[in-house]
Amino acid sequence: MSLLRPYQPSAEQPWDQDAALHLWRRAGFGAGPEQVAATVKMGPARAVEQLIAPPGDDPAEEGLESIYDNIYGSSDPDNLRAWLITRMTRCQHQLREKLALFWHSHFATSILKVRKVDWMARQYRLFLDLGLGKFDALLGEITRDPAMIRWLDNETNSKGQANENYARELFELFTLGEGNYTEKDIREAARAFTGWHILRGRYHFSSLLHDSGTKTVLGKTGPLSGEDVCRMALEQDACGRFLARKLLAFFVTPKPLPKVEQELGALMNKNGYDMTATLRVVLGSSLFFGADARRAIVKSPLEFVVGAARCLDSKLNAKAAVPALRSMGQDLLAPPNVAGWPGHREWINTATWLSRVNAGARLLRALPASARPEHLLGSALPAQEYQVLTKRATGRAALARAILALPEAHLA
Amino acid sequence: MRALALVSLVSISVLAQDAKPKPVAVPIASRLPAGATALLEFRGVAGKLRALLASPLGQQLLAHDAVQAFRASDQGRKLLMGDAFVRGINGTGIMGVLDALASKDIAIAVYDTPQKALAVARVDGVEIKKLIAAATLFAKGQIQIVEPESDAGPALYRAGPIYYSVDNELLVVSTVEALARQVRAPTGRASVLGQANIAQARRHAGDADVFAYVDLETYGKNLAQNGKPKDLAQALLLGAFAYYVPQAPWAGVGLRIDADENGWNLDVNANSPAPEKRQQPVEDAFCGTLPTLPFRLPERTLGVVRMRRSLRSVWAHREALIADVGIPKLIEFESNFSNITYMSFVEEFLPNVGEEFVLIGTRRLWKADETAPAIRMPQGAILWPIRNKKNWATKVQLTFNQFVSIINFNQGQNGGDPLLASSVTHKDVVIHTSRYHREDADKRPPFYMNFTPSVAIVNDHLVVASTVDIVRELIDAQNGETAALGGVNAGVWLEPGEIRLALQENRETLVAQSMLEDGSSRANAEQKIDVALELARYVRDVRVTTKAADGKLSVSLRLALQTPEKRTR
Repeated sequence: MSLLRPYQPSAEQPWDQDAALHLWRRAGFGAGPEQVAATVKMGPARAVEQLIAPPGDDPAEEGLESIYDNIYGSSDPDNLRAWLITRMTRCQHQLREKLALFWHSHFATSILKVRKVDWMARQYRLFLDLGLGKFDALLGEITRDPAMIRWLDNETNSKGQANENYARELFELFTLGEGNYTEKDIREAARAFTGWHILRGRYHFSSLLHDSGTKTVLGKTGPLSGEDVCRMALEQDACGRFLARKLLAFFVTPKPLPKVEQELGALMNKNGYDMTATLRVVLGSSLFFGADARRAIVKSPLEFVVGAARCLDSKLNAKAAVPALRSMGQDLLAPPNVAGWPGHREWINTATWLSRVNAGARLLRALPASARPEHLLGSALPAQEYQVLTKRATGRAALARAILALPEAHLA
Repeated sequence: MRALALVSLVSISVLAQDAKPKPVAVPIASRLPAGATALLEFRGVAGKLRALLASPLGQQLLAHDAVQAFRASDQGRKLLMGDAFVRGINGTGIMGVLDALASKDIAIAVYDTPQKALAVARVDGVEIKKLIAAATLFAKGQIQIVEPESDAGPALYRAGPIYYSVDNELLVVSTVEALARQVRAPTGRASVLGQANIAQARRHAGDADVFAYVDLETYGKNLAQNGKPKDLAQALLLGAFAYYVPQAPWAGVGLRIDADENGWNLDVNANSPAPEKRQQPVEDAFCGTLPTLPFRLPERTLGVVRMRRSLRSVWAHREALIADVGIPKLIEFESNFSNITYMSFVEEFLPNVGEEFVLIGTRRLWKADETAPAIRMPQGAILWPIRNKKNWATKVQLTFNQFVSIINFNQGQNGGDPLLASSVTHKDVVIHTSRYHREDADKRPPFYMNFTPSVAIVNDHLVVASTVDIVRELIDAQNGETAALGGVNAGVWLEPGEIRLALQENRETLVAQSMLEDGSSRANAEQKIDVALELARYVRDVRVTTKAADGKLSVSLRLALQTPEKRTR
């Protein structure tokens, strides 16, 4: 029986507050008690649909969009970081924000090399605007993205002097994964991307610097272009499996079963890498809501900080959160390397753990009247433990801090 | 417009020498025993604040939307509830308590460490006793009688770590029982007013409404340990204060409130160390007065910083004035300077520059055909008097070209927009200028498009500016002059009206920052910023000046408020 079959609430897997909170934690960054209660009421299928396409206007997003020019024109990357964190905290379309973060790590590009805030803003825009669409469109745009071109040195990829960096990462990190291509494929594919440069801050194709000769890539021969190479990579079965593995590891379980990868990969090959259709299946599956998936992933610092603010209906000082997140190991817009953040257990070590606990204390100086600290963990906080914490903590903020210091609060 | 002046002047005394004391009634501080290391006196401040609140300015402030919004906020409601609670006890509310406590005199002294503090206040004892009685009820036995009322004095109570007593006109509060006992039953021992340093500082502050004294030998050890400034910037910024304040045995602050019907004044003054402690390198480099500036201030001036600093003297005595750690940086600077300017910094540059730095900032006007960046920076210029003007022209041009080359090299490496250099002439003055060349189809100009770096020689001053427009404005401003205040050595003059307009032009940026820092909605952020901009309309004038000449060392802060004109909606 397929593990990706639609989830049907049952006595073993009821649709309750815990299940709804699980959905919000994974498909978004969490939600406050009222929002979770409303989600429980609407049932799992509608809940997933509303995460895919929230109804109505979003004043928070409109407000943030209204200041985008200001962020874009700033030379301080922390302004862009804070803007993105505020989006994650306040925007209704949580799945889009969460998926954009996934793509940011997938197509990991660092401002430390790019050094241009507007280029990084434009790249992140691609993740927001195209993230839930078809992967081929996103891949096509990211291949032409100035920040990516600079990050992977395609500016120096010219006829007769091919730079293989982009071609290598295209196969290894963006589409196929190791073992599904050869070094010759990389060398030949790199020729297809020669002349894909930047001019005046935009993608520029230089036909004079492009190698239009015959190449053989992934078993096909011809005067292949960069577009051809991208398309051919997507045609490989390995691409579906590779993306499926990364999506499952991000949204469902850190170590997905090969047969589930295979099944989801095949589905993606079939649906043309339609991310909305794919996530509808993943988030609505019995696998997603299964007991093994609950609190099975270590939260990233962003998930922890933004999630705590959302669960407690607390406002977040995003500017102050930027350095705090950095000390926890997640410097937004500056992933550690081309492979992005390794995630899961790699998030936790003695230094980052201390930073997490301290951040919880700083974040929660003032809580709104509506904040319910016990909501942070739902039933993962046993009643007995809750009683002990309640007795010892002086006030709701102290209680919230104590709960956020529990290991369970760091699991998504 | 009917302007109301609210003028403040604060002074920090380092060593008083020649202030003339005014006759004062027996001060409450005389009840404090000698041996204090810090002293704070309030002399009937509440009455003056009450007068201010009753003035038209105060009434307008109290009726302001922001104040009303605060009253309606959570914190405001809590405050009102607290007021109602206190009113239930004493019938007059929190203001009544403040009146009873602060309408007369208060003196607070610290002995040895901040943990040993003693305060005395002339109070309405009846009111205070009512409050203490009520507090005793709520304290549920936490208040103990240490010594009952007797001929020796009123009862002495203890509440946690605090000891207190109150009679019909005196409240004594202390963290040390022995100190409380001494004041409760005076024994004729010496008071803080007999301490020579305190007496000197009080004389210097005159009839200030608030007076503070700090023993620097006790609390200023860190100042002395810091020694000389670590770098040139620190030395230039702090001037003589960096060298003389750590030598002072004490510091005093006086705050004067002139509460006429429209406002109040704050006052501060200070003297430098005794003549034998003055150092010639410091006197040469950082003392003296500002000359008249041969420019009037351009229109839309936001503020001016003027400093009398002799860079030539600093260089001549750099081992005496800058810490050892900072010297290699100066040498490196000399070398870089020579490479870029083709001039020897010590032999050719320093002998040909004057001893005043001037920084002027003005609000920039954007032309109709210019697309302004989202963040609109003010424009600024540094003015430096020069000698032998004719020797400068080529060197200025050469240096500017080098500057543009260096910027372009970096921009080119990073794929950034290049600077295009050119020269323009305005009223026969040649301006070497540059602008960022941008062909990106993106219609959102980045932050750096605020800058058109420029340089010129104007009226025997080297002008280095962030835009060509401000250079033109300074050329137009040669036909006037700006005088410094008498004896002033350095100062900052701000124009709140223009600053408010500059902030208003950047309202969108302020709203954006508020949204990101507070996590609030756009509507809430707009409301917060608009309240701040509205309150800024009440400020008329701000200036900070220092004196470091003729044996005087002082800092003065002047603040003037006004009743703004009614806004038309």
